[in-house]
Amino acid sequence: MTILKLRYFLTGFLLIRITGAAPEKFFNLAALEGIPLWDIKHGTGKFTFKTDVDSFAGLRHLARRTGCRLHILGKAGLPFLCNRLLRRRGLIFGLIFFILGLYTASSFILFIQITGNEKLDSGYLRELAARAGATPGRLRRNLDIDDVANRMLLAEPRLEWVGLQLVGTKLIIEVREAIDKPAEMDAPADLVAAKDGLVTEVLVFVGEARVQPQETVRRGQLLIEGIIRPDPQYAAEGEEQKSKPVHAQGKVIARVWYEGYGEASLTETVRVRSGRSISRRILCIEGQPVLRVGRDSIPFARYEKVIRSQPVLERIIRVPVEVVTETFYELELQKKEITAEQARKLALARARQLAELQLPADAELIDETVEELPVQKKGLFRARCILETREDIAVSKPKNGGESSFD
Amino acid sequence: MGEKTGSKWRRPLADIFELPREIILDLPRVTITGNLQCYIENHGGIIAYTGGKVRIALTDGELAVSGENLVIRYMNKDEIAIDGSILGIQYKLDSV
Repeated sequence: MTILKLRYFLTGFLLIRITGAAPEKFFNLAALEGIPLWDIKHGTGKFTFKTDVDSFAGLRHLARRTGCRLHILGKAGLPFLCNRLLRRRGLIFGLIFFILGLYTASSFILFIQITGNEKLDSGYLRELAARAGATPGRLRRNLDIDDVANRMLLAEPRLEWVGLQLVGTKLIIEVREAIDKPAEMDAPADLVAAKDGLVTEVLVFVGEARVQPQETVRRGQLLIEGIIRPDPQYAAEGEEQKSKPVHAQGKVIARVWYEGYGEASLTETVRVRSGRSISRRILCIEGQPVLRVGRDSIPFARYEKVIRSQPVLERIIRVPVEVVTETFYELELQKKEITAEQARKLALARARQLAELQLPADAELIDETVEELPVQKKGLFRARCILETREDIAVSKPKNGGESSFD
Repeated sequence: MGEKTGSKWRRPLADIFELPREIILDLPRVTITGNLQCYIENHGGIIAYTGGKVRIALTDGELAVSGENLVIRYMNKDEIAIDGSILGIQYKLDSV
């Protein structure tokens, strides 16, 4: 009966009041004719019952035969509900607006949550993520999770692992910080130069300085030796004066230069998409290609391949099903003529970019020189960029020839 | 009556073959759930219905369901379901 009621709810039903001499006769006839009646109730001098919409015409006929009168008290069910709903335009627009709004709002990343950090500041990690491409307000679709994670890992060596997870509009960035190797403070070690530079300050905590300020050092050169010599002044009489190897500690601040070189010619060859492209689609189930739609051979001499994968029914089917779209864009080599001024600027920009790439994250930039190199070939501009930083170049190197630990 | 003569051999038949009696003997099958619902199969229509009493025709007499706030939840050619608080069920058979 419940199933039937559900059916009648879907097709619509009527609440009818019946008055007359012999409603029982009417009910019996209706039952015999196979007309479904339910919820027959007896009130004072009248009966009410429910029946489905389609049977009403038949019931009228029966009522006339039994001398009863029918009166529709109410209409219920989905069709009437829909009718009433459709009349309310505002409600429908509101509903559409609401759904669209919800959909739009949920396609953006609105919140970024950072978990797992112990030593690194959340604000700093947030900034790092923003630079790697994960900012609040970005479209979820445009977020390349792997790319952001990789960029963050590259930018911050103190991160050991970064995992990104999109939960609705929230991006959860989980990080694992690198555990510092326990400093082997007992093991004897020297401090050596990590890179070439001009020493400006030498600060010795433990050990003996082997370089002076204003001295140039090369990579690998000994800066502070991990050794303690007993002062002969306080040596006990007769005791052998032996120097003791220690773990050298200190800071050696040096000016370090990073150089970048760039060139640009008046006619730059650029690869541009010609506008022609073909794509093929591959249905993958659990990473295995199942169905391939599209041509196999690519009719372009030069092309760029873009692979996008779209998960299908992600939340319904347990097995990962995705449609991979491979699009091949034809590329054309185009010679672009640029002015001398533009070429010069381009060369300078390239030089600077290369120099910047070498900069360590915590270096303090103190000077920047961008210079143009003399033109050797006609139409070719060359530039050099030198960035000067002040940084601590001392790294620990164990005395017994073990691996040097760069922190 | 024809039914009477028929039941002479129909009853042993139902007993021997363990066939449902209500079908062989054309009897109503009444199922009562507590005092909440009374479900009657193989009925012959409603004779009278008020909130306190429902009289149902059978092939061989009538069945009266009395109670309070009785509602015919469902009705078709073969079945009637009566809801309400049922107080009594009474048979009135022509053959007795």
